[in-house]
Amino acid sequence: MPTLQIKLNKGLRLSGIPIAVEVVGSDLETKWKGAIKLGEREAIEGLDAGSYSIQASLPSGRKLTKTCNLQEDPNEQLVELNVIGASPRESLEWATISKPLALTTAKQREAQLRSVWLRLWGRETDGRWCVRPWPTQYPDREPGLVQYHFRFLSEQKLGQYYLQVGGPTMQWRLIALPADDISVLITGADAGAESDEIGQRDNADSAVEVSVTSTKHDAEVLLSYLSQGKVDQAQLVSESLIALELLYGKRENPIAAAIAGYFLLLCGDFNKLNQVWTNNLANWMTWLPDGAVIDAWYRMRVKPPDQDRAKRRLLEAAARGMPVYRRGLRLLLDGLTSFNDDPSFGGPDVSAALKSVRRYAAAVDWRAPITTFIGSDPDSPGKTKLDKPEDSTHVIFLTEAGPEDIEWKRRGGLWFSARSSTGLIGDPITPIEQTAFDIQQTSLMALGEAGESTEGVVVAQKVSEAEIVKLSKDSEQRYHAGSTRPRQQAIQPAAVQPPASLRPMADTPARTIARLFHAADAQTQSERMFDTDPITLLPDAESPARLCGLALARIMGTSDLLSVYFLERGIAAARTVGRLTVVSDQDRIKFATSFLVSPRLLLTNYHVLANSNDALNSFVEFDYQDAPDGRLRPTTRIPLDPATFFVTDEQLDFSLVALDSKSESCSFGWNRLSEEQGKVIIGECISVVQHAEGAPKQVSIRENRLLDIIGDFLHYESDTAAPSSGAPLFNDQWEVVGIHRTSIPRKDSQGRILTHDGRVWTPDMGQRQIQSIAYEGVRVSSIVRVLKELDLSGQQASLRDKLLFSKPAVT
Amino acid sequence: MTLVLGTVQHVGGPQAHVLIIGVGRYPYLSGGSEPTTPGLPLLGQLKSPPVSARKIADWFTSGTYLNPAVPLGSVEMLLSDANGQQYAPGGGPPLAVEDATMMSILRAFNDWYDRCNANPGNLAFFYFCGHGLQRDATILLPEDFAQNPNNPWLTAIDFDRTYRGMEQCTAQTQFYVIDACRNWSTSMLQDLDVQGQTLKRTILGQQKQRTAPRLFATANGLPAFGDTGGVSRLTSALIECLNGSGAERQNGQWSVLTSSLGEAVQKLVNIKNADLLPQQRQTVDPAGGDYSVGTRVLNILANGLVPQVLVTFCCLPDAATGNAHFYYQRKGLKTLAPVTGPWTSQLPAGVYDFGVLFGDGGYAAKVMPEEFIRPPSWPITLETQEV
Repeated sequence: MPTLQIKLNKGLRLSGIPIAVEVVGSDLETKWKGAIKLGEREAIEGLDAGSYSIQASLPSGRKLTKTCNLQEDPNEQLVELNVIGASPRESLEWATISKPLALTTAKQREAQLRSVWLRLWGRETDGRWCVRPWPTQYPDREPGLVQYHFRFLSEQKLGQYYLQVGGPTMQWRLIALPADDISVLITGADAGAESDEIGQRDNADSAVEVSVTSTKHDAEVLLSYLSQGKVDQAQLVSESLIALELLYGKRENPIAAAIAGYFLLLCGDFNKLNQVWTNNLANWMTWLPDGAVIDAWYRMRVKPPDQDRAKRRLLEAAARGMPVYRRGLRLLLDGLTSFNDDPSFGGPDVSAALKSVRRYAAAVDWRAPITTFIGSDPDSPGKTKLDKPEDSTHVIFLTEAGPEDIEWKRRGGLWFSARSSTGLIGDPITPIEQTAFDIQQTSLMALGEAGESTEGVVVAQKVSEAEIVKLSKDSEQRYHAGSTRPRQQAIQPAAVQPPASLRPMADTPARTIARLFHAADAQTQSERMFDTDPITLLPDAESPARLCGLALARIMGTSDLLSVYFLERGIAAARTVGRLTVVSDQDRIKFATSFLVSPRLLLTNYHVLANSNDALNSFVEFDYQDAPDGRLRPTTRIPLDPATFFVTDEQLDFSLVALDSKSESCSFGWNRLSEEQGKVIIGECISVVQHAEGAPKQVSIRENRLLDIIGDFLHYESDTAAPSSGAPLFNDQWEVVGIHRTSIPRKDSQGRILTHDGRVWTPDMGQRQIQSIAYEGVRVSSIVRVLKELDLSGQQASLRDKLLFSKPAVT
Repeated sequence: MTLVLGTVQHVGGPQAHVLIIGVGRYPYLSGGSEPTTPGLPLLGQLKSPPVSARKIADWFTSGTYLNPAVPLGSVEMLLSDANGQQYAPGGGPPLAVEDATMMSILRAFNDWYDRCNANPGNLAFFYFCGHGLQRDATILLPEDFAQNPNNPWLTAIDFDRTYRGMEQCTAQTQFYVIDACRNWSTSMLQDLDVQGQTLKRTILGQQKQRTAPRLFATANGLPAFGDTGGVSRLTSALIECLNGSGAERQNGQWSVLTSSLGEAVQKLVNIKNADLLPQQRQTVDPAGGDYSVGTRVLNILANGLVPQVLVTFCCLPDAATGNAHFYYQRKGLKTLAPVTGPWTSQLPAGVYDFGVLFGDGGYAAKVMPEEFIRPPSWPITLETQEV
């Protein structure tokens, strides 16, 4: 029988790369298929004499075909396919088989490259992202394309890198650069191009196209087939043992090993993808999130699965950063989503990590095989920007810089001061408005403008011991029960030991991890850039991942520094707080604190406002506080509207009531209540904004430390006076974490309440004299849970939904 | 839910169970009967999805589907059509099909899941045509999307989570067709509330191996198209491919396979793109999906049927194409293109000789003998030179 020999011609530089080839008979059935390496011959036996079509599937998606007539000849008959064709230069040979259209339409693409700039981001060992100097090199230049080469692997500069590209009309994008020896091909987008081999690309959002390929081209072939959904071809290439070779060589080339790992996962080939390899890939290359993702999925899929280890790996991966490959990001997202969906495995740590990854996933270009997302820097996915960066340091231009670009460089770029269009700055504080609503009740008209108590009006009654005991009874039991539970050490700074006071109060690992993810995501730019010791997640993990930033150092108690942004957000949050004057039907008046949780809804305690009757004549005053000149501001009083909405819960000690509809036109802002966990952990500082005993608004900034989280309640201590009922408790990001409800008084052995100086307290002494061992607040997540479960309809449902889902104008 | 074919419960050996959802009527979107919610992507009423959904249902119910190892078991359908909810399966009496609201989709999905889950040899075929959005997941919009103005996403489907949830299904062969846009807007980038609901929640440890390709009408971030009141481009190409344009010759039969159907559909749509403006072109995305039980057969062409191949002719250099008179020849029979210039023709798969003539000279005639053409498309480029 004749033997057919097939040879795929190699290039000057490219050889040994496997390409999927089929031999098709005249009956159109495939007679042979396999992978043939460039430059090598494949002898195919067992074919009858006759006509055959030889078809090579190129990484670009194109097919190269050649027909041959196999004779009844015992000698081997050779068919050669010229795969590479004509390449403008050696270094562009890969582009000829992976992106030929870019070469053939290069001239049309040239104009798009003008004023397009690049910069290289690298991750420091402490976890911060910095702009790195652009490596000095002469790129390959052809009309409409520029190709750079990076030698991260050869120069042992392993780590995480992003290429950032931006221009006058294009949103800034970040493209992950594998820590390998790579080529980065940048071509101008050709808006008029015919549909290419992979499919028509939308060029509207991008003036340039960026292709990143490693010099490990056999891995790139695998990746190309996978990206195009050509699983059959990928399997042919894999059958040439490439996947195994790549995986075995993970120490030499971890990036190529990751590609092989993804492929074997896709095919469910767990015999080849064994636990030792995936484990080592995750452990040895701690800078590579992809390794942790592959190991996690291996553990999820292998029989029997190890879900706990898989979950920890996914958390590690999320903390390491985004995977280099889009496939890895999809698996990370899907993995965390699966754990989050499953009530047996979900938890605050998983949901916080998932939220963190979703920020990136929302901004990702899912078409690119390499992780590519819109963002102003690697920590700010989704923040859109155009034109040049504020700082010109280490910025290079793709083409010769124009006069404007040169001028910008000369000035250091600093005159480009426009801020991100998506910064988290809240609405500006508007000038104080005059009183917006009149109070109709005669008795209340006697109140002074600023709300002082006056003659003829019954002011807040003295609190009886029975009332205090009743209110604090359950809290006391919770406090003492909580203090006997073992506290867990969940996290530790990588280099610096936490202060001794923090250690016994540390929270559970799941809540702590959730808190760290949450805080890391919410950090300001300056907090992220600040030089702090990184925090190690899962200290007992084999390859623990770390998070860093000033906000995390504050959580750990290793820094007290705050961004000035804290003050700005604090002012915005404080504006949402108002003094509540409750006028009961016995004309009793009591003062408490309340705060807006939607444009229309006000939250306070049940024990302040227990029924809608009391609410009928009650009102809230905003801006009852000092102005910068030291005088009290004019206030805005708004009556309550319990007929429209009134919900109360004695167990959780909260009441939620509507304000008069005109309140929606006011500009006090409001706080969004979130069920999400990770807003605060034990040991962290809490700030309180309040009208203590009805006095003008005061703030206790970070003077309260969370002692414990017990079911629906928070226990905290304070260096200042007892907070006011109904006061919001804020974390360092000024998110509401709870609502203050009561104090837990210190008692003697006979159960009598003690004063600050150790005497037995009596109601005549007033509430201020009571010595408290802790304070109790209701967790906002518990309140949200209850609100979600309420069976409401009509306007009430609409108001509740606004609270749950709308976005505050001021955050 | 409306079963247009089969029974609510799976009976017997391996079968194909099909769930078809076509949403064109959106009361809470622009042009709908209810007030719209500000801040949402600008989406309106659609006419193509109900037509497309009926067309794919016709394909299944009219007897074209042929797979002796996995016969058709059931076809369930949900429609939201401004022009009426009627559907006549297989030419029979018309049925009133239930609206494609979130709740009815959930109910139909649960029943479909149970049927699919009854036998590992089953084929689970999921088809959605309507509005879609893309963020960190592909979000599919039922008829009542945005019914709750405070949280429109309560009535939106997270396809990716649903796809992952389907890993628990016993059916080893699954195929998902998402004929919807995957647009996104800058305002959606940072809004973490943009999240749909899953139709099947994941319970870890219950996952099974499957081959489950996903075929998206368009790539992430891009729109999909359909002629108003006509069948969408993806569905049209999908049906062509199921009818043979996506088939491969295996063991003496033309079979449509899980491994190549998506790529075939992509090729057909790409060819049709060539005549359109760049902004109207559509990029079918066949990539992605699990593949752990290997290639599976989706459809087999009846004996004697030969699939059609879309053959496109051109010359190199391109300048020669304008005056070219192309032809093909098979078994001695020569067929000339009706006019000079670029030519696209549908030919039965086979071995042909191709050639080009130039009536007014200028370029040399050229013959390309014995070209094996296979579905779905075959480009013929004849290299010539000036004379």
